[in-house]
Amino acid sequence: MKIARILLWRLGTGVAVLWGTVTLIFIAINLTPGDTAITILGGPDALPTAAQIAQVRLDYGLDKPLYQQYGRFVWRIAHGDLGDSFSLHVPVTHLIAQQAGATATLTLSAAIFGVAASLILALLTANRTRSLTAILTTAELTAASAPSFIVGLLLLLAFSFSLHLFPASSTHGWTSIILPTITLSLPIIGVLSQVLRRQLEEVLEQPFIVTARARGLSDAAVRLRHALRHALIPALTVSGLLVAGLLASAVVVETVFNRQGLGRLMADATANRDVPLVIGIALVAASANVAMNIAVDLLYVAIDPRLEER
Amino acid sequence: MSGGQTLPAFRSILALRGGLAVRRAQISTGVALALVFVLFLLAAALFPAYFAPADPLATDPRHIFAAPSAMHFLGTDENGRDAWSRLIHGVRPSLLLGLASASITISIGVLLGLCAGLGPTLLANLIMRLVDILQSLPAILLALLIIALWGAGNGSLLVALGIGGVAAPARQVRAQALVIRHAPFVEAARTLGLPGALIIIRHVLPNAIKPALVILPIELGWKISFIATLSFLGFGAAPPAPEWGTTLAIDHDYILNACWLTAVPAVFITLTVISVNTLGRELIRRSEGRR
Repeated sequence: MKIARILLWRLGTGVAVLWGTVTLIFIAINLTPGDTAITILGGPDALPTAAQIAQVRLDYGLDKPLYQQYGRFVWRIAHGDLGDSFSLHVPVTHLIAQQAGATATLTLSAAIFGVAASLILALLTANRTRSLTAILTTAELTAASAPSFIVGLLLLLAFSFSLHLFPASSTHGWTSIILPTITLSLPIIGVLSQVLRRQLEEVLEQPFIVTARARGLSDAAVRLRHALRHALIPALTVSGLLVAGLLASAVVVETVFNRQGLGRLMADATANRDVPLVIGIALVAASANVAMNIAVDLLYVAIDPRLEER
Repeated sequence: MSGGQTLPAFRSILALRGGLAVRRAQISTGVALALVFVLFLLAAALFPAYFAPADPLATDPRHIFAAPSAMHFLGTDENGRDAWSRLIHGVRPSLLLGLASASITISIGVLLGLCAGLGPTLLANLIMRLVDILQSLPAILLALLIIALWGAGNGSLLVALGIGGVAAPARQVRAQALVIRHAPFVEAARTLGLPGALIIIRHVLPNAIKPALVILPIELGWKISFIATLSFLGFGAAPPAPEWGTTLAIDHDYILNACWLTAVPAVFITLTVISVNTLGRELIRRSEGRR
């Protein structure tokens, strides 16, 4: 029962956040100096035709008072109508549906690889020698700080152009996804393994760990069966934030590796100042973020059943 | 408060400076290296001509794609421009824009945090929901949205860079302000009949601002990386300018025949971000009293 109520509450706040995002976008459009219809069509430099301007005026109800425009804007988006991309002359939802698969595959594999690698790294390295910790901390700081496009370029240089192990750019075949996955997941590994290791080291000091060791459990069993679950809660918060940011990093990674996907579409749409398309993809990202937060909240309860009783 | 007339703000700045390795002599090798590199960057930003032998914009059609040599440390690019000079001349704009946008982020964060911590409940709730919304959009996407609406340019770039990341300082300052508004010295000031604005400026702000100021270097590291990324995507400075991301966007097309044009600047930018972040983390660590 409790879970249902939490879920319902979180869904409600999630919808509210999305509504707020739509409202902010509406304000931003109207704050842009000049004719709103021309703003939506990519600014005066895009040289929109009179017919296009008339169409946009009609679609967005721009001849009506502002509050009606706002109502119409929210109503249309709530019904899944994101308008037409004027640079590609196709409905925005159509374009997003077309490209979402590639990005979902990439971000999902990066999330799984990133979280798994951090878990393994932290479990193996918690409470080891000081010199090992120092080396790891440096490596993790590097992984967390290096800009994604630079990591991508260096990986391309090393593994595609020098060693010829992976293709430099394509969306097809499983080998093409390896380098982008590593690039996307490196920042996750850099931050998450650090958080996890610190948590594990704290948990490993607890009396119940000493008890487990006294019962004769091996080091591996102590780490896996007793320490891990306790270290997971703070790590979950961090990984939720990191995974939610993957779609944004996909903008860069898909551009560097010349892959299809929402990120690349977003970069191209921004370059063309295709406002409806940019808004559409931004809203998809915000929705993914909200969904991720809800998933994290549910996972908390799964990891720590005590939370359900509260 | 034994300092008498010493303003709390002045003291927290002193504490900040003390935290940056002046007060305690013990610093780790990593932090020392980062400090050296950041000092080098500062020198390069102030006197680029001293470190760069050539004009970053001077082309030389007879010497394009020259390999690294004594004359051209990093070789030359597709127009025969000296790559090392372009790298060095890129330090100043990156640091300036980074510092400006990081300051904007922190200032907005402090303002929102103070209003949310001290203002009426309705305003506080409104601001915190706004922060929630800003946090639901990743910074890059928010920046692209603003650039798509307003067009690429310095103004929209600064706004795009400044708004992203506002959530963290806003939350921290709010939490701090909520604690401080009930602190004994604030109650005392109120009892003495000081006007509200004066209490906020002289007593609440200096104490609530510290967690936001401490994250400034980390924010700077983020912004430098962010600026290079946006320029790489084509939304920063226009091509002839020696901007890091813009230059890499062009030079990586020649990755096959002139890999040094990509590799060395890539490592240089990464070192910049890592050094700034290392100093930032050390500052946060010391301000929290951890060693």
